[in-house]
Amino acid sequence: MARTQFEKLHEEMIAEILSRLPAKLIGQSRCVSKQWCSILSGPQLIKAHLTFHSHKYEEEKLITVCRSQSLHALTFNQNGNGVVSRKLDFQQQLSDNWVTVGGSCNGLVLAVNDKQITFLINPTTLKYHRIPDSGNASIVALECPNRLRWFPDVAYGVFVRGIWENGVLVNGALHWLASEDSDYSPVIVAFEIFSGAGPTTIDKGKHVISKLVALRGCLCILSETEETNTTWIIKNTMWTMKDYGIEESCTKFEVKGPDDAGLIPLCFMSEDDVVLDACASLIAYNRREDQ
Amino acid sequence: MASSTTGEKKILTLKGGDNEEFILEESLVLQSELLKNMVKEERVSSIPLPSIKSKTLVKIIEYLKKHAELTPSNKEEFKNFEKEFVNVVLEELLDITVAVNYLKINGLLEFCCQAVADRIKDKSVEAVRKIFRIESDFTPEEESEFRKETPEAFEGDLDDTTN
Repeated sequence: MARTQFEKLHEEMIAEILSRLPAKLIGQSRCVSKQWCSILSGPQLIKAHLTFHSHKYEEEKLITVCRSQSLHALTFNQNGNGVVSRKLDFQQQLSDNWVTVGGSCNGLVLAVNDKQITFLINPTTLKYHRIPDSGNASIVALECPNRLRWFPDVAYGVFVRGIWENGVLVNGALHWLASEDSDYSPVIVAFEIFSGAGPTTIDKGKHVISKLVALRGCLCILSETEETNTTWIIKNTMWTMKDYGIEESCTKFEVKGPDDAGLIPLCFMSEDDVVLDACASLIAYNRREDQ
Repeated sequence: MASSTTGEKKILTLKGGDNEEFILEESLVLQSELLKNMVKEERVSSIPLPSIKSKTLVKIIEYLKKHAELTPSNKEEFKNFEKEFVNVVLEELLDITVAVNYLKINGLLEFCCQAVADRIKDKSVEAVRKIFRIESDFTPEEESEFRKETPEAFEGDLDDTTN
């Protein structure tokens, strides 16, 4: 008697295999059978998928708002030259009156429309969820230690405001900048959001950090000024921290752009190409060729 | 006899599903968490593995040998070997994956899972069902709902013959 081939594999292994598929195919594979559907909808798979893909993106996508107020997904080709734009078509269910993309996390995008209603969108499945407008509701409760003074906008709504707007989620920990009472130089504060441990501060030497961004599962630290002896040089310096928490794993690159400030890295196009947001226009920057 | 030795090297016998015997150095099987525990705790010299076909076992032993020889200088060669290793019909690849999972050879398991995933990456839902011989257990209504929601899942590569 020939058994069906997947009967030989138990569910754990099917999950292990399917977690290696790109997100788009996970959605499709749910149609295969009820067993696959239940495996593919389970929290275990989602977790495995995130762990696997946060460090290895098959393609890098960027969701932006177009002039026509519609949402577009931009996919960059591997060779770094071509850009494919695809409109997110909600088929009349959501109207195209988007104002801004609030942020993204684990493949989900937070978009705000002109009525100030916030939607959480999965750009792959086009499923969306309206975020209840409860002002500063905090989903995760945090204890603020006394010695840290938070930036006022961070103190509220950790999930909604923290992750999406201010904090940066890398390796299951939420990072943001805070400054201590006596000193105005910001430090990076990390919270383990699942275990509730923390906060721990990450020291970044003498650099003044202006912004944190997550790039390919790495924490990216931006600094616009750097103190060199007595002179202040305005620079856009970025570090990406590959192995989490290990400072030696930082690769540092400096951007000598046409503008002195306002460059925010959005995503990697390939190993060396970074897409930068420079005041409403997008710039591709090659780390190796420095242009 | 508890164990036989030649010089310093301990020898171990693995018995495949069809009673074929494979004699190899004990150090090789230590890559398998399961066998490592058996060897360390029970001090056995012969391990029956009735659930694993001999053909599969041959492949796995081949991998263990290559992996033991891995050095920084032949990394490229090993990569090519790995590529060839999973270049087998899907049925066999699944046998290997199941056996590797049972034996707990972690590095190889990762690689096999990825290889299986690569096989189904470009396939349509229909082709995946065919490959794995899965009967759809959805009602016709649910089925047509899927087709409406994700039409692209039912397009794509219908070819399942390469497997």
